Amino acid sequence: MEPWPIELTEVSKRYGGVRALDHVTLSAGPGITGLLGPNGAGKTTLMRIVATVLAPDEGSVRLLGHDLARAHERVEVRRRLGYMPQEPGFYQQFTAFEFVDYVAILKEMKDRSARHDAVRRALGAVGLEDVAHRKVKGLSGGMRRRLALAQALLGDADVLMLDEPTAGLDPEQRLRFRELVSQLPHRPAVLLSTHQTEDITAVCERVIVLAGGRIRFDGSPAALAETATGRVWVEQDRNEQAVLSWRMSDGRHRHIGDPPAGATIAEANIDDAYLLMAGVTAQTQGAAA
Amino acid sequence: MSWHVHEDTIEAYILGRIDDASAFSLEAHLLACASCRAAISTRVEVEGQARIWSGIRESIDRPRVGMIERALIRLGVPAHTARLLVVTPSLRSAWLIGITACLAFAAIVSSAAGETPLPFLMLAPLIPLAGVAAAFGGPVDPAWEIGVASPTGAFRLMLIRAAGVLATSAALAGLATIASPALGWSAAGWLVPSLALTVLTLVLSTVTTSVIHAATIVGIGWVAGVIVLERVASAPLAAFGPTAQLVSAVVAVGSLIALVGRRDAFERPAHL
Repeated sequence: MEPWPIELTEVSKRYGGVRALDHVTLSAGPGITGLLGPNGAGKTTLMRIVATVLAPDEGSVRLLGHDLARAHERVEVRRRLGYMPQEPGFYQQFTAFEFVDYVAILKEMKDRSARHDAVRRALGAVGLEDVAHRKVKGLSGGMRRRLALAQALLGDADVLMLDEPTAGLDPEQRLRFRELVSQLPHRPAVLLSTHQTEDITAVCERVIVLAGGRIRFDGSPAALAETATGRVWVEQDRNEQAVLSWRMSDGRHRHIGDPPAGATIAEANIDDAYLLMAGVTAQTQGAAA
Repeated sequence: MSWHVHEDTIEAYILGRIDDASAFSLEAHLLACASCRAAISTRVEVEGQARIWSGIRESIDRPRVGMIERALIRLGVPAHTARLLVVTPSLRSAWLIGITACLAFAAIVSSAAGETPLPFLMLAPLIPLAGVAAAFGGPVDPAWEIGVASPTGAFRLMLIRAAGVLATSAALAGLATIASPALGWSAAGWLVPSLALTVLTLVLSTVTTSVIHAATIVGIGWVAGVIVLERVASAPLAAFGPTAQLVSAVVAVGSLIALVGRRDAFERPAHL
């Protein structure tokens, strides 16, 4: 049997007194797996551990059948890994082309002509070919985000780790990202960390909700939405019993939590389920449904 | 279009046996004449065309090579390694100018003192130390995390940059020694301690929060050690005498062995 491209067993990580990951066990195969969770849930720690840049305190991580605890196996994995960090940094003096070319060198692409072809393909895939020779410091935030994505796409990686790839992108760029990542021809195993439930619904075949360093849910986006079935209702006025409620554009209030008797139950969506699961207690006003 | 390109001219153009003026004239004609374009396009070798376009793209896309990178390539450093080196903050022009000024100042002060080259000897080993501290790691390298996740890896990247910084700093300090005859040959005593301090810093950085932190500890320790030795020892420049050189060599070798042993702490650190 083929091993899962991504396998974590009982992985824990602690920063001082804070447990960022608490005995996390998961496997992910080809296709897009979304990682959803509030700030501080442990998403970035998990992404860094799988991306081979951070060692776990406990547990084992295997990528493409290789044990990351072994140095030579880790190098083998890195040859087939694309990683977009949450806060990618750039050398400001480089052009977009030069930056991706630099990463291609790090990825051991030594033949200059083949490397430059790969760089052009990666920049073309994210729609940056027209600004390839513009310096990084002259690029907008969205363009830099796409540049970070371009370097991750270099070399047709078998495992792609994308940490908040759509943060800072405008709606059109976000759509383009979804189109790109859902149509990668070689169907890599993609782990996509995001705050955007729309991204999960749009492209992920599977979603994992992480909160407090533990996995709270693992299943399809539709199954996640179903967990809130019967726990979403609409009333004219705000109900203080709700875990969370907000005023919709038609003036009524949407509530999530345990509905009172006789409440008008509404169809639950992934946002409702995620908010319930993450245990949000703060009241949010004014957001449209 | 009332006229068309002669068959012989097309043949000469395809084979590249045509003068520039005739080629420009023919190309201007092709822009306006679909019939001649069709005639010529079926006869141009497809692979040759692809080669030409690839060459054009390469000349447009070729990354700019700066002065330091050019110098490294001329010295025999492979082009891809030179590219990894040029983003090192402590190999950029501003840094090099800064350390040259520091060394010149220390050499002048030592020469003016007229007795011992102590200020120069104390400062020179700190130059590569500071250079290595500013060469890699999260706080100084914006793309460090991407580098750690690459097959090159943090350890190799660190070694490449540390070697580049050490060689450059040593060359500059060596030049300062030669350029200041008043310092005498004893002024070369900084070389081995410099190597020891740098490798020790790299080892220490695997247990501290950053290389800068480790370099600060080692640097302060070095300065304090030299001052104390200078006060308690009977002979001047005890920190650079034969015994001290031997101790430095042992520290350098021991640190180098420890560094290889701690490789994994660079490759997959406990904290970023």
